[in-house]
Amino acid sequence: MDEGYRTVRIGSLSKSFGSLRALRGVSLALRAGDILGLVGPNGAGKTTLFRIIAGAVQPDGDATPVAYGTGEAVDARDIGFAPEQPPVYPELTVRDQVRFAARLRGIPKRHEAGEVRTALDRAGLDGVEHRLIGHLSKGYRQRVGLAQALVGGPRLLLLDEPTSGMDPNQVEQFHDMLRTVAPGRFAIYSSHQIGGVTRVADRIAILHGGECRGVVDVSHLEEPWSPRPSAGGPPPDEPGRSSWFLSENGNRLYVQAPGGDGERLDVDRIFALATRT
Amino acid sequence: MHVSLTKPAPGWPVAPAGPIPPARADPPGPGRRPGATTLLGLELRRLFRSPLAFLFAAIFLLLTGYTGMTALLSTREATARYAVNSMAVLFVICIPVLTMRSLSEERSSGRLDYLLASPLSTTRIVLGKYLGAATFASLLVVVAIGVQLFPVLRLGHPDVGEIAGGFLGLELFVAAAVAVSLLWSAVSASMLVAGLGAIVTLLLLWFVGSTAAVLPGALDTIAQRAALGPRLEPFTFGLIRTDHVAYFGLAVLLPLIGTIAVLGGTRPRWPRGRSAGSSRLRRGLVAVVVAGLAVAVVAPVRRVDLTAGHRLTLSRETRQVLDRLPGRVEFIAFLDPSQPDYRQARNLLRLYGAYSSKVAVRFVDLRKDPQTAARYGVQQPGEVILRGGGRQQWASRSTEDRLTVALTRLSGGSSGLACMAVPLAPASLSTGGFTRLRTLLVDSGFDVSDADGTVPGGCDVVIVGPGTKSAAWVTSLHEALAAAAPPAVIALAEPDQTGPVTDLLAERGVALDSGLLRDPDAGAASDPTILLAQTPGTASARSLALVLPGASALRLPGGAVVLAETSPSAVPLGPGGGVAPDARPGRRPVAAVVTTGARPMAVVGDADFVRDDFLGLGDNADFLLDLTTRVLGRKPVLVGSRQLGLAATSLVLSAESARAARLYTTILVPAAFLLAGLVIIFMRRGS
Repeated sequence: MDEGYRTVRIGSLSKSFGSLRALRGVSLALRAGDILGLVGPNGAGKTTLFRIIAGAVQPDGDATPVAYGTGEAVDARDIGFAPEQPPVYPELTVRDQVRFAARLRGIPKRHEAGEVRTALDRAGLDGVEHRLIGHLSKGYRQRVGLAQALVGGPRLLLLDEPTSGMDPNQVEQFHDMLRTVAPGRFAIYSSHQIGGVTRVADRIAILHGGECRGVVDVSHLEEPWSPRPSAGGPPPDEPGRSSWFLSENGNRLYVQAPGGDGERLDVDRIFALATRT
Repeated sequence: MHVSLTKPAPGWPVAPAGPIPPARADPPGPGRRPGATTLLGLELRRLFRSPLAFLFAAIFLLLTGYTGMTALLSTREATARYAVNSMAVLFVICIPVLTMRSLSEERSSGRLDYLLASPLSTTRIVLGKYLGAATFASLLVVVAIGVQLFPVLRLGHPDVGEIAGGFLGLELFVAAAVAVSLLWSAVSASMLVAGLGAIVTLLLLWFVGSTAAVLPGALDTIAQRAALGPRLEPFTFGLIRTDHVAYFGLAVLLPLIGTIAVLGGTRPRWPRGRSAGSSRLRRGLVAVVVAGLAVAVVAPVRRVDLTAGHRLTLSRETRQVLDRLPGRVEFIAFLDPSQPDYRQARNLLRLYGAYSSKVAVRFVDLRKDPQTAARYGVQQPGEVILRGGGRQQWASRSTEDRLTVALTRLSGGSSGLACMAVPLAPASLSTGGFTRLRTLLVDSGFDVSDADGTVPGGCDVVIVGPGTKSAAWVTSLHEALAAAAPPAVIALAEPDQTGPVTDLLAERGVALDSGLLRDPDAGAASDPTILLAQTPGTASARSLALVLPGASALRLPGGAVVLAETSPSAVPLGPGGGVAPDARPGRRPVAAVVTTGARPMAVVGDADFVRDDFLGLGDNADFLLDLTTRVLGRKPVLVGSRQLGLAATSLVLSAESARAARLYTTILVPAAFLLAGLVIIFMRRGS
């Protein structure tokens, strides 16, 4: 395979809604097998970025915003998009919903049943496939959204807050699944829980005020950014770590422990430390 | 601290170095392209698995059942016209309610992003959504029409063509209403706004025609052309006009193109692999719109008349005559707007002008312009002068048979020579003579000659009537008939007279039953009795209302073809005028064709119905023309007169059947759909 197909280049993306500038020249690079964690406070532009990468919304300008290293635009059938709000129909059963996604992606009929089965298994929906989506919990609906994104094995996975509504156990299962499917694929995974993202992502990008504040390799970060287990390091499920969140004060962005009076770290300082090394 | 960082750089960031996991074995490439049917299937699955659809159908059927049955029971006409109209009015509300969630809900729930990000092209997304809603609405039309038709078919004999026209019109109306509602659904993320916007738009389109009279010139024209209600009406009569079909086509396509523009306006085009042929499809839609505009505005209007007997358009025979016109013809129609048949006559004459560019129609108001009428010798409203090629013809009435026959004469055609051996106005006959019959034949293109004791050479048909001629006249007529051997004879018999006709009939083995025929249901014997005569042998196979004050049944030899019968309740009267004690009611032949040798003879059991006093009643004149054409063995120029306009048979309705019909349409059917909805609710509980 052409080496160019092992990278996907995104950028430089800007998007305005009237006077509101939702994105300001965001550029990202993805490597095959790489999971990029996208974190940012509410209103940072994460969802707009996902909508643009997915091909649902046109960014400002006419350039092709998402392309392989070869310069070739990504095929719409090769994008698996799981929006924050699962795009599901309550009247359908889980299987019908995923089958619809398979048909939408143009999966040949002879492969349809197998692909649907695989996606259902990967999303942990075995046993509920004949239930109506309207009767499922929020966490299970998220899984259906995931199954839709996974069906057919798209190369570019866009997972916007996929763990929303899941309990910690389900989140851990999701992370395992993501690690399983990631090889050979390009994945962007956003969450407001930094601990969760850093536990599974290879790199993280910080989005704030529509700008990308930096992309950092997770394996090289210190506490509280590196919850990933390492030889001799602390266990990944250390209490409280996964619930660290981003907060902002004016133009400053902080990583903060829960509770309001917890520890607060300036994101720019973290990046500065990382850059100095 | 050990940190490495890849900072966002201007332009494309450089991919970090390092081992790259193996890529998927299957690179992106061409595969199955999803079509509109993918979304259509989803929409239908959602609809039929939701109790909402069945509850919606139950409410709709309840309302249409109630309004339709109320109209049916009050008019007692065997037609679905009123049901179609009431359904259309209800659809103005129901279609937006049905469709408002189609895209609005997708947008508000976030599912629209998922669809827009999919490989499905915008055109196919819109078509899929549209077809889903339109299919459901269309099925609703089928069910609702079926429910309404059931009692009509059981209790009457509706015109199937008219029903088909109404059904087609309603389907087209529904298709347009769904498209308009879908556009609103695409424009607004609020279902309420989308629904109300669509309802107001449809109501405006429905009523703009009726309020257009207050608008100034050009706006008035636009309003008239945009009006929706008047476009549906001809369909409910069974008339399909190409300009109306084009209108509905545009009313579907323009909102769909608008919806595609709204959805596609913000959608990027960079992803590869979106459904191929999307631009071709869009170009195709635009081409159809242009063609529709051309048909609606420029092209001449073509009409397809689905009614039995083509009551709403010119007959095939008339169209053939118009097609063969050698030159331009001017119709000068003398009409009186106060006459009840004014509009009908005016519309008919306009049909001639609309069909052929060689025909120009000029209307003269008899009341306002009596001088012109006097100049042409016109006295009665409805008379038409036809001028062309330096010749002039006259039609006594503005009916299609008169006009077309006059047009045939003007074009140089002649129906033949009719020789009449009948008394023209004998004082001894209370019902008058046969002067009007003569005029009718002249109007119908015959050259008419008297056969007074002799039969002129070249007679195509000899009409022999009763009278007070002498025995010598009878003898000479028989000899003349034998010698001239005319191709056909029409014998107008009179039961209470002997003479040339009865002698003639005796020669052919035909006898008249003694006694008069009366219909006991028709009241006093002295009143003219109208009997319904069946005409199984005529080309039109229609019923004729014959006026037979003294109808006499024929006893016919074998091989005779019965053309007209009395009603089943007719009984022969005794010599004193009363019903004979042993008389039994039953159908009896009153007109037939008897063929002796090579010459056919038509026999009419009572001559009264074509005498001056009765020729203009019912379809009597048409029956005589029909008969003449038949015995001549010719293709009819026009079989019988055709009163263009609406016709409806009555329902045979008892109080019990009315109750049953109401129970069926307004209770049982909606309840069945309600039950289906409940079943789905309970089934969903378990899953």
